Amino acid sequence: MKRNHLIIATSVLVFATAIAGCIKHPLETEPAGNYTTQNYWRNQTDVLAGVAGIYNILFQEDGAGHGNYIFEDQSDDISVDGDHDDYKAIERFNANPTLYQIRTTWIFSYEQIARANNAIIYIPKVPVMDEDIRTRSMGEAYFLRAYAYWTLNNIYGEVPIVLEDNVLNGNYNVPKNTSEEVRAQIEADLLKAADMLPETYGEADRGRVSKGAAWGMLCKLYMTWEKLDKAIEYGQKVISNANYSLAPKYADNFTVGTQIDNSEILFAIWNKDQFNAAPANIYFTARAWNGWGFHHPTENFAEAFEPGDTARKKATLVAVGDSVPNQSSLITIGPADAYQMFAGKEGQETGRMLPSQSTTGYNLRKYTAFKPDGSGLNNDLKQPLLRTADIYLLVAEAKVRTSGAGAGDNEINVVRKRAGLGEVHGAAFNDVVHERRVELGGENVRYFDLLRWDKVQLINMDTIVGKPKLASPLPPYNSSVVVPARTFTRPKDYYMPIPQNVIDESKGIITQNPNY
Amino acid sequence: MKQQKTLFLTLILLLCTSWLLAQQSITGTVTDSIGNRLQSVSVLVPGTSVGTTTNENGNFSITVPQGTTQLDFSLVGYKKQTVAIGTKTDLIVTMLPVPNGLADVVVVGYGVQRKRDVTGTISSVSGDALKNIPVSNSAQALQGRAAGVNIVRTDGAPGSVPTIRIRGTGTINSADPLVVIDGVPAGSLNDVNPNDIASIEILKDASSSAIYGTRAANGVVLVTTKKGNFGEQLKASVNLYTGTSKAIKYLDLLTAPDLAMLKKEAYTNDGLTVPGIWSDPYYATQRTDWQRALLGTGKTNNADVALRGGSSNSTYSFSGNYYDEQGLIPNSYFKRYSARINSEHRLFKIIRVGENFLYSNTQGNAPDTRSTQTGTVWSALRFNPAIPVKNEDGSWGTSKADNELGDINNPVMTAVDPDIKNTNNNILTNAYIEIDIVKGLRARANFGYSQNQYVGYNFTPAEPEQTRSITLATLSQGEAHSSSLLEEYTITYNNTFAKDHSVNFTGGYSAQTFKSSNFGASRNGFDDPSDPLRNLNNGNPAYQYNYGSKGVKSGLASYFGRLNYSYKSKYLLTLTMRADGSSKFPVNEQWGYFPAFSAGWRISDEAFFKNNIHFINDLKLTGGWGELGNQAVPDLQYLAIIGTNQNYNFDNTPVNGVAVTSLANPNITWERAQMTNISLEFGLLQNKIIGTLTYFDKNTKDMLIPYPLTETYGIAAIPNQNIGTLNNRGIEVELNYQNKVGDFTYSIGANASFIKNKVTFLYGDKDNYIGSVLYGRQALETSRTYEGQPIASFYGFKTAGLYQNQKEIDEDANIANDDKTNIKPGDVRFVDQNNDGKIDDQDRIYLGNPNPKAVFGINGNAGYKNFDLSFSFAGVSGVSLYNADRVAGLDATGVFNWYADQLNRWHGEGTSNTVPRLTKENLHNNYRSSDLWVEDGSYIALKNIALGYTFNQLHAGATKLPDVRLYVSCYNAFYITKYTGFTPELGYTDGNRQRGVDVAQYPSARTFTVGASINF
Repeated sequence: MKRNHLIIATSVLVFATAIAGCIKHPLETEPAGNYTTQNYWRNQTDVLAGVAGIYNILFQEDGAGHGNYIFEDQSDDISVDGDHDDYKAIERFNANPTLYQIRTTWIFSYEQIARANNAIIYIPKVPVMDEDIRTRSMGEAYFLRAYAYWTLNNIYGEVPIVLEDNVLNGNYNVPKNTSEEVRAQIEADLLKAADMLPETYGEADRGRVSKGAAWGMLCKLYMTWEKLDKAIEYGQKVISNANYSLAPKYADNFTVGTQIDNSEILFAIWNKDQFNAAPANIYFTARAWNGWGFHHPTENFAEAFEPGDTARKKATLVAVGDSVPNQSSLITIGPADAYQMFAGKEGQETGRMLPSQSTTGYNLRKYTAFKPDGSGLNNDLKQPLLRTADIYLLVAEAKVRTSGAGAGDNEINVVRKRAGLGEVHGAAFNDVVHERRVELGGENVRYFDLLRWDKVQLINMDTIVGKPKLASPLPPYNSSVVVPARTFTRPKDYYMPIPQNVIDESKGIITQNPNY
Repeated sequence: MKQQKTLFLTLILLLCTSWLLAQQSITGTVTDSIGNRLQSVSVLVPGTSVGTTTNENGNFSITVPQGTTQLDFSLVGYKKQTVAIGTKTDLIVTMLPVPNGLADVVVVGYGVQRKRDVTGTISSVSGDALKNIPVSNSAQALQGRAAGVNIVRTDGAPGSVPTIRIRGTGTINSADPLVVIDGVPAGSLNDVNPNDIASIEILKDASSSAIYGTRAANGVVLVTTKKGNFGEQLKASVNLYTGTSKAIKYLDLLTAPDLAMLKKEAYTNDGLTVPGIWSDPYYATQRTDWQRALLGTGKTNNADVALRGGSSNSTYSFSGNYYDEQGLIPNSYFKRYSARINSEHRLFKIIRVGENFLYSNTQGNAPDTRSTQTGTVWSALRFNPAIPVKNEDGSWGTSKADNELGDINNPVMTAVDPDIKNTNNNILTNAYIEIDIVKGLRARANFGYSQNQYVGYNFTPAEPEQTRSITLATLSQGEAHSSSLLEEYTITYNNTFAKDHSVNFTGGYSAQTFKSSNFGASRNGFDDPSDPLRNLNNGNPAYQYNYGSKGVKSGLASYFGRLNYSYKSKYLLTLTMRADGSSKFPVNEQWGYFPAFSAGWRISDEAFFKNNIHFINDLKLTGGWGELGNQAVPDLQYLAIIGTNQNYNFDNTPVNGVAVTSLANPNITWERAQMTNISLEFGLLQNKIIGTLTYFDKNTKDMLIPYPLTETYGIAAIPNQNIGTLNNRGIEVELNYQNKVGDFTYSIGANASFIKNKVTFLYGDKDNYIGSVLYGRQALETSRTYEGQPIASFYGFKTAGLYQNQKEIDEDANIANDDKTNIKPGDVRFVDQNNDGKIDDQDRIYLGNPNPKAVFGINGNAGYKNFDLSFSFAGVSGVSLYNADRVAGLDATGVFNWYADQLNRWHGEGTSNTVPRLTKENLHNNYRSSDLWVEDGSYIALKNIALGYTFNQLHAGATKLPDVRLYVSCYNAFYITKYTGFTPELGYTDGNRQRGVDVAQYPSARTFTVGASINF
């Protein structure tokens, strides 16, 4: 009997343990060590980080940080040098869907959209946070999403619109939308952003996009969309607002120290030394000066500056013999360098720009800065993506085109005056074209201006790209041809091809652009 | 298949009431080795007709004449045994099965089963086969032992863990089988002393492995360690061996004078200026054979001690092991200290409690033999032979003098210089209790725990004078922890109804959780690199790095049941069902159900068979089908992961940023494998020959593969999707023959498997494929996985010799429409596959299968009086290998030493049709991926041979000495192969995506050992 009791007691004990189990809920696991969309977006800190993550994509070397500048090299202002064959193919209107840069501009734009979409999905769900910051953050997300679609629309034309629902459903294989639809999407986002963003920020938030940036982008969008009245409406909001007035000096926009408190810079990539690589600084600065020297401004561009336009020319171009503050590398003058001021000085050392540092005689000055202690490139240099001066000239253009020559004089002259030039009177469309070219040189504006003007037959692209890109008339260049005359094919060259991977992976859903 | 349970007897709890009575009454209980009470056991007083049999509860009672000291116990299928009564009147007797007899048992999932009743396909390897083989990992000793089990060596480094593939590679993802050590699905075979293993069972088919559900798709390996036996006197055994190893093979490389001569030729051929260094007599003087400088003599030492025994109610087993293997490459080693305690106790006859405990400490270092920048073997094959190992001033020889000497470091320095110790502390333990509730019904609870603590230490001194200069000394230290906790409750019910209907049911619940974490730090720039000052704090804080992460806690919960039914042991049926929940999947996808069934027919028990066919003693046909799962996929793929460090800069102050860095697959679930199995088991000539012939067909479904999303999602990582399917099918044969002629006993076993692997669906087209890592400086694409081909097939151009003269180039149809300006006589003739008269990427095709068509083994044992001999062959055939190292060894653009075969290069019409002309510019790209580098990888190797002599009945004066067996053995004695690289055993180089690619892996060694086994 006793033994039976023991058996029963023990059995009960074993089974009681079994039923209770020593491992509670083995399948309930927290995603320890990782943030996921399930356990993130809890509070204001998360929101701020999520929004910073959207801006972060602007740093991408092969996207906004530098790669997107390649498309500007299709204009007549700059020629490509260096070992990137895809850059050269794009410059010469030989782009094909498998080029590296064709893919990277695409994917980084869509990554910016993905990050913005996540923010737009989750920010409204954060239970408790400062409502002003919530509104502002939504505005930033809308703005940055619009900026990415703006980039895509300018470069590829018709692209698929991917919004919040696509993210929630994991549905990314969607057909292209028309340009009209993409622009409507950009407009809708920018209008929301303009509504939600503050006009100005306190010091700690300098670098975030403001209402002015959204209005400015709307102005640019409407110009491209040929909605000139609306472009004037939103452009006026920027140029009439003292918070967005021009910087005192043109060069302030491209000089470390005068960028961060600069009311003219509406939107920029806020590089920081020892933090991100500031790729433009490296790609645009000559190799001998510790950059990679990929972009050489042409004589075509250099000679476009009026004789008295020295402030802008100096801030835009470095020519042979020029020096740049704090550039401390001393280069031995070689046989190929002993021209102009270096004639007969072979073997000596110099910190000035030498002929061997450019195929054209010029480098772009706007994205070159050196540290005061002589320790090389200064990656604190910001890259302006949108300036008030651009908006002044767009309003001027719209007014000239809607009301005739002279209607934009006021706006043009604000810009000219800051550049130290005399006023113009009765400025016609061609004067706007000139002013935009020299004011915004190297800022990824000229080629997209040419495209939109060619589409409405205000200019003829053939006459522009049909001229060879030339080097400086001075020795050793002697006006040599750096890029021969090119052929612009319509409608093919209005847009880049859609990346081949995208075509392949979509299995027929996304179609290639015409003629590629 | 031969199952030799080394478990021994028995016995004796006895209370003697009186010596003086003329007769005494003795009672007792007889069980089998797993505690089942045995009915109808004959109990007999020796030499008399006094006897009885056990009742249905296994109990007996017998009155024996005075002076009876022993009882004989016998039952069909069990070894007859004689038990000393001593002073006891209540005996517990354990009957042991006759190997391959009626009662022989085999370990199965959650239990043991009579071998003759098994309807699945299980390979069983006895611990004796693994004993005293000089390897760190017992899986290595399994090579060639079981059909359908392919042990793929990773490389020859000490402590390297071989890959086990059961019935082919079942998935592109983790295809490793589940390893269960003493009932705990955790731990590593590297921690277990092979000499502690009683048996390894490999569950191959769906019916036998389905009870492990989501972890069974790649097969299950059950390891059972040695235990003590009830009533067994304390037995001690000691195993000692020591071995030395040498490289099996060296490759033929150029000597310095030949190299200088050929370098000149390469430049001259292209019309280039020959760099001055090749006319410098210093570099035309042979100084170092780098292979022999790097690959020295290895040593292996092993000592283990075991104490095993038992009282009537307790068994115990203590064992300790020291294993120390020094590899061929200096500073490469693996050491293991381990201790194991197994015990079991009986309470009141109906309760058993027991535990298994293992602690092991392993230490080791395996140098990099994969990289084509710093790999030691790769560097030894490439380093200039005119450079001395050490200069006269004692500094290391360096290639820094000239770019022509290559950008690699002195391989001996790379091996010798760093101080590296990777330590693992492991605990693997379980405790269980079993209760016989009523006859046939038993409940069991099992609790297991395993833990691994990894401690890494790596100090690399500065070597500024090397070409890949190490400017600052670096110390890195790190720790990683992982653990798992297991609980299991099972019930078994075992009964026979109406004499012929035997039923066995096992059902239960199991839960297991897993945790892991790691952290580490490093600093550079130690001013004083001497050992006592190698302290992280002494490094420069300006160059520091640290990390830490916590792994995802994951869990499994399962309900399972298995029903075995047998009618007269003639008609057999097994039904298995497991419901598995895994935390790796989203809540609504967590549970999966894995059914399996199998049936067997013992034809030899049918009267028509028995009466007519006499040379076949045993014939059993079994067949089954089942579905298995594989949940070994990365965690959290069902959630979008938010990554940090996506920072931005506002007001010149960096701020934290985050972004989704990995997208979610909300529908992710496990991979499934459906397997059909048909098997014929037979015994011939009084079971002198036993064998198995099996056919299987295994379809993997829902294989997780990277599926390209349309790139409108950005740049985040994309999760895998359950899309692919894969098929493995084949035939397995196992044959064993044993015989005895006088004092000469011998046995020989052979096994082979013939498996066909094919990816049956990936992307639904012939264009998309799953790639793998590119090889080396040539960025050679060796392997691709395409639909319709075996996994990781070789890929590249077909060639048709070399162009011997300009006429051949001009007239070659392969390049009729191609630009021929870059092609010269002595260049490779690539074959145009799409007949467009051009050679381009479209002409690349399938070049070979790295998965062997046949894997086989032959094992033998022989004994004559006190001599014993054993051997074991293993081999594969129908396999291709990609000799990527040969590309590096011949590519004339390389600024390295070359293979001696370069002397046979093309240098004029008719001089060679296989080794291209020397060209630095290589405009025709002769060294692109092609069949020039694909070789036949078939081999047969004598893996182990041992000859021993046992001294027993030894006496030193009056004292009896223990039995001593002395032996000599040789591991990896020889390979017969056509493969020209170091070894045809190349293993995997990129998960399952790349196999059989020679990247100058750590070469295999041949090891001679002498040893002694002493049994007290």
